Amino acid sequence: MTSDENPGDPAHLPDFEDPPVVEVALGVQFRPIPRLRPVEMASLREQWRSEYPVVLDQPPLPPTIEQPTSGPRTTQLVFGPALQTRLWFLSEDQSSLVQIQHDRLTVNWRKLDGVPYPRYPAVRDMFDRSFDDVEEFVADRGFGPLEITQVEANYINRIDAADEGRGHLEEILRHWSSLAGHHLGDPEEARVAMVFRVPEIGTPPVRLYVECAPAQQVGQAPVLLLTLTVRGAPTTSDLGSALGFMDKAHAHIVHSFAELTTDAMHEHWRRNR
Amino acid sequence: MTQLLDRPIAPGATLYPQAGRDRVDTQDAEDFYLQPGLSVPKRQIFIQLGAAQGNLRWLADHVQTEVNAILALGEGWDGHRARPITDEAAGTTIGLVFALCDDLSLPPQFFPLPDGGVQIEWHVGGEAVEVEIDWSGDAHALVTDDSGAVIVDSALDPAASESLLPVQAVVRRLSIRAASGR
Repeated sequence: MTSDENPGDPAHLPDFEDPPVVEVALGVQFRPIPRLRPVEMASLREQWRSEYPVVLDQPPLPPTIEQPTSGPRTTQLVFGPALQTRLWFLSEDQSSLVQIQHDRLTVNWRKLDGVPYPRYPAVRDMFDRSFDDVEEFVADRGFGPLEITQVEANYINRIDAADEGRGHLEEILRHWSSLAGHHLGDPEEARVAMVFRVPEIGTPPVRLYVECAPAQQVGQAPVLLLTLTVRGAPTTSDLGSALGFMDKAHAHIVHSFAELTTDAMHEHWRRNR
Repeated sequence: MTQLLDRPIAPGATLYPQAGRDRVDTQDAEDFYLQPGLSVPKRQIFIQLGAAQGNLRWLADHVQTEVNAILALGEGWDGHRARPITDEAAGTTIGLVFALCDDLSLPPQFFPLPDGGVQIEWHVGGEAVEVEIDWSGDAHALVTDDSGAVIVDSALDPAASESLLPVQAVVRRLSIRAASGR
């Protein structure tokens, strides 16, 4: 990428024909709306029934707010009503998911039964429509505005790794060196995590988190997960600002993914540009 | 590094959920129903640490559990006229614990007070630190040595480091003493 190119321009983003992405989650945290509870959301369930017929209860996620690295020791306390739940609205094939709790809205695309990745614009559109519906829902009931405080884009990539491969991150990560010189040989497993500051998005601090770590689902073979997340506060608390944040976050995630992974893996994932 | 330790990287991911908060299971339900007199909690707190405090996650988890337990106490929890713990008292309590403890500290014990306040205490040998936080969030420290003599008897403000220093020093000394088994 040259300096005069827009990093967010889709025409300049690395592109893979068969990317290893298995889950994308785009979401926002907003100022808590205590009345946004399952019992109040009955009409939203009706509105979404054709698109998301399956509804499940999940424990709520705690707030996750990016904070400055320096400065005084800070401890954020969040008082909230207990027994809140997070509702999952799932599509029939369970590959599309909308998650709502009193201070979060997240949409997920999940790779199930070989469904191909629909690409970022489709997931973004799903988030856009879901947010509009929830915003209208809370406005109609006088619950107050949705004031967005944090925006988050998550990409989870699954890389199949044989038993002996989970310690060989050099086959996946461009900047990782083999540890064959270690007196115990290669590690049985390895985990790498990085945090980058992301400039020129939203209100600082905005960070990119990268982690490559072993994982395993019940009854399935172990894999390596390469997770990339960008999180931070948008410039303003409205949807437009959040979507702009997500677009830039997506571009940074795609660039980072291409920059961090090896040419051999790019070939395996059939990189187009 | 502290950024990485403090939080799940992708909390909204679902196919491979990350380590974090345990999900409620049947054991939790059983524990809940078997605790006599436990009222249904109406409030709870989450503690999110600043970037420089990643090594205090263990303390945050402990404090979160203890404070949520006393926040669940309802009106008349002592069998008389005790008030529920106020948000102000809980907020000051947490602020003080983090102001007085470091990553090697002995965590305090937590006790609810009938006025809606909280008392936190450290006891090692004959030495004791007792901090009383009243319903309005005002705090007062009483520190005694092995002989019972009062070393500190003063108001505490989590935001005023000069009021904290003498108590911090005693908590540190008690923690070392407890760790060394003396």
